[in-house]
Amino acid sequence: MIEIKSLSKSFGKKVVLEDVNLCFEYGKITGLYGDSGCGKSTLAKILCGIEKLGKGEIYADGELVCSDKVKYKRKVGKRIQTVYQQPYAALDPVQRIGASLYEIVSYNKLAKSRAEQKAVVENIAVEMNLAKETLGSFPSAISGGEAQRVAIAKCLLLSPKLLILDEATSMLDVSTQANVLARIKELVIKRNMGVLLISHDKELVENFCDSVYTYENCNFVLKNTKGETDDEAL
Amino acid sequence: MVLSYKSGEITAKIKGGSRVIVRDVDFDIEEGERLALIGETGAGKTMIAQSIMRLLPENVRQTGGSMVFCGVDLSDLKTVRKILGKEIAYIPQSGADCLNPTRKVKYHLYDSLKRMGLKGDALKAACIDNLVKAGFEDAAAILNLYPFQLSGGMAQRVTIALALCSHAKLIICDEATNGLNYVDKTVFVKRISELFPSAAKLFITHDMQVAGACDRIGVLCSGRLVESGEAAIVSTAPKHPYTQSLLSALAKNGMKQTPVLRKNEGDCPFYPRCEIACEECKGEIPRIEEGGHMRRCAL
Amino acid sequence: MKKYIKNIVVCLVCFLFIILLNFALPRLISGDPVAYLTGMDEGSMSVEQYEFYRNALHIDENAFVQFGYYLKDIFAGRLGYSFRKQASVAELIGTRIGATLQISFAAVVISCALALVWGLTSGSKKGLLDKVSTPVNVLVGTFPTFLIGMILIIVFSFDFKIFPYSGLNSPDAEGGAAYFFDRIYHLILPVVTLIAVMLPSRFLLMRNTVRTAMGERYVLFARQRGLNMHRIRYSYLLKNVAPPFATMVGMSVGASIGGSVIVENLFSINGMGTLLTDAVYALDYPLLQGVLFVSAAIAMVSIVLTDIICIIIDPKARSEGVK
Repeated sequence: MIEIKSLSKSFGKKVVLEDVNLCFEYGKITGLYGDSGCGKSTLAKILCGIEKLGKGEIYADGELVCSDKVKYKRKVGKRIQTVYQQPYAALDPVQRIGASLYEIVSYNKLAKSRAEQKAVVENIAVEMNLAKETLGSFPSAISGGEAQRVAIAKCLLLSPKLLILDEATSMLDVSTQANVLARIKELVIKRNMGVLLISHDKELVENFCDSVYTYENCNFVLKNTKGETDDEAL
Repeated sequence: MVLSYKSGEITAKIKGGSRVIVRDVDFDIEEGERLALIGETGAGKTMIAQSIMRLLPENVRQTGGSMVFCGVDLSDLKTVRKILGKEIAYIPQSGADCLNPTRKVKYHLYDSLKRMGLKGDALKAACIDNLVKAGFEDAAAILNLYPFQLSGGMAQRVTIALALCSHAKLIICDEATNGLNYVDKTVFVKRISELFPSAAKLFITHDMQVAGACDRIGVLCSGRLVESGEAAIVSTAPKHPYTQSLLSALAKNGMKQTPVLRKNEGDCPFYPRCEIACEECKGEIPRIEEGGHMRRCAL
Repeated sequence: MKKYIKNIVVCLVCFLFIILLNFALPRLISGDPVAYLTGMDEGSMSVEQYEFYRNALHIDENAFVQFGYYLKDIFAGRLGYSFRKQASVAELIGTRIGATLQISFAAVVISCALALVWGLTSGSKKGLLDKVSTPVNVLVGTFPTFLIGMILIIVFSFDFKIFPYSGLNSPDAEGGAAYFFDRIYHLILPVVTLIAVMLPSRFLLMRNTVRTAMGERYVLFARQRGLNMHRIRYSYLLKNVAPPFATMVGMSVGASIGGSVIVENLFSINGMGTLLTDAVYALDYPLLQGVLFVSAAIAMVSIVLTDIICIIIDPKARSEGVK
């Protein structure tokens, strides 16, 4: 469980978040809805340590990730990974897709031998439905949907407990979005992780997530929790 | 008729050969009419827009098409250059990337207005006038800003103001609603309709909601026009399986997936992903026209 | 404004460092500093001479006092005294710097202007112009300075006898307009040589940045608005591609003064370049230091100027500077 306790954040005099208390359970999809530029992304940035928080604490499985006194702990924070809006922005244009995955494996010492590395990368490729050719190609040669799946695969390599999708599908076609999100839905259950979907698309958030929070007065308000009946429709 | 467009064949030279991007996409737009071209990424929508303006990338070629704009043949490059920005206006996807980062907003507008023959004081007056029309309350404050000082929404309003610096008879909006939220998308279509009441409007989009706010919709699949007709019909009760799949992939309709089911055979661009395809789909696909509604489907 | 000050401070610190190096190096080299600083052989000096120089150079004082004398010398504008040439370094440089500046300044300005216009046009226009000018510049870029100079001398001075091959003035040239035009006439070949050396890299940088910028969305949108290429080139592209170009030019000004050494020797011009070679051959340390000090100063000033120009060009940098 990832917990946010009484978190506040302001830029200069402008208060963006105030006394936010949220809790992301594993195996559940949480949605954050709000207009562009309201502070949804700030929360995502704080969660993965890009932005410093003003006040409050963040816990992962009861372990402190960061607070106003403690600097962001990368080792614990690794459990939170984010996929951003621009599909190609996360990919180095001159690095093959496969190589970028290997890089993460070797940097984080996820495998002991070369053979093991290969197995890890191949597994993740199968999991995210990436073809062999995709791994061998450059970012310019793959579609937006594939690029976003690669970005998700990169996050999954680190076995996150919370995957943040920060407008991750808003640049994609409806059909591609459907494909990517269907994959996410499977992963949530299979890997028992939490997903935080941040979007300005109200319909998407309401239909895809188990619970939806909307941004109101510098805080996130629980709007609805989806019942059993809705689940069947998906 | 403002624009009569016949794409012919648009091909791109890519590594080791060439690929057909658009084939046989024909449409007309009348004065004041709003036509939406809807399709997924890579369906060739943007190439169609670029071909109207004769600004296709170097490696892309158009053969056998014909484009007539208000009785003028657009195949002559010099004529197009004269018309562009005066009678044909373009509104791009994301305003911020499309403005020169080192040029103040007002000079962008002046550049366009000078093409219309304005000079001196009239220039500034028209500039402020257009910014106000585009939705800026305090236009004078915008004049001296640089593009990086604008928010996404402001940058888009500047591009609308730039389109207003013309006597546009044709407006092309290329994915201009991307990144806008639910309400703003329809507001955008409405605002363009109000600002350019008599111009023909071409909305290029992948969003069914935007398309639904138009008068007519043309559905593109892999560079082919598979269905076209009244917006009310196409966006709610489409007859082509591809358009149906686009609708069912929407969040509110359950986000149904359309995976690739089989290899591409025959003429139909949707054949590989079509759930109800059968033997007939491998042959020549007929063009069925019923009272202003067209579809290319063997079923 | 803050941003400019930061640049100037950095520059001043570098400058102090150069002064320090200039002061310390001859004193740190093993051997007798008196020999280095006078540029004379110990053996050829009489004891009285040696004592005289020792006193004049304040060698017996401690390092700080010596440095004080050194600074005093710089700020008094003497830059040291060349015992070899029996004149203050400033004087020596003063008589020579004019010729060097005339050559290198003209070459820098003309090559910049040429590279700017040519690179903009070639990069934004596809076709024959670009297909010819890029390989030509790559080819010329591989030629060493002396080769270009010699080819020019052989062709224009010996074969066609159009331009003079040495000096900055004819011996009979005197006063007024005639003198001025005679000077220009003499400057043409050396300046053209330096331009030929500087142009290729500048042209290629300009052309390639323009080519990349042509793919930017703001250029495409300008074309979609129907603006003509001339306007796009000078109102849209120029300002965006100028910063890397300005930086490159600024960095190369110092080098171009060094580059004029070869040209000055080739065309027998009495400039800083020839002074520097003299100083090197004669091991005249004070003179060497002086020349290096002046060229370092020029390079420093030009780098600061380009930094400031870049800030002025880029509105983003400027507004951040104001903040």
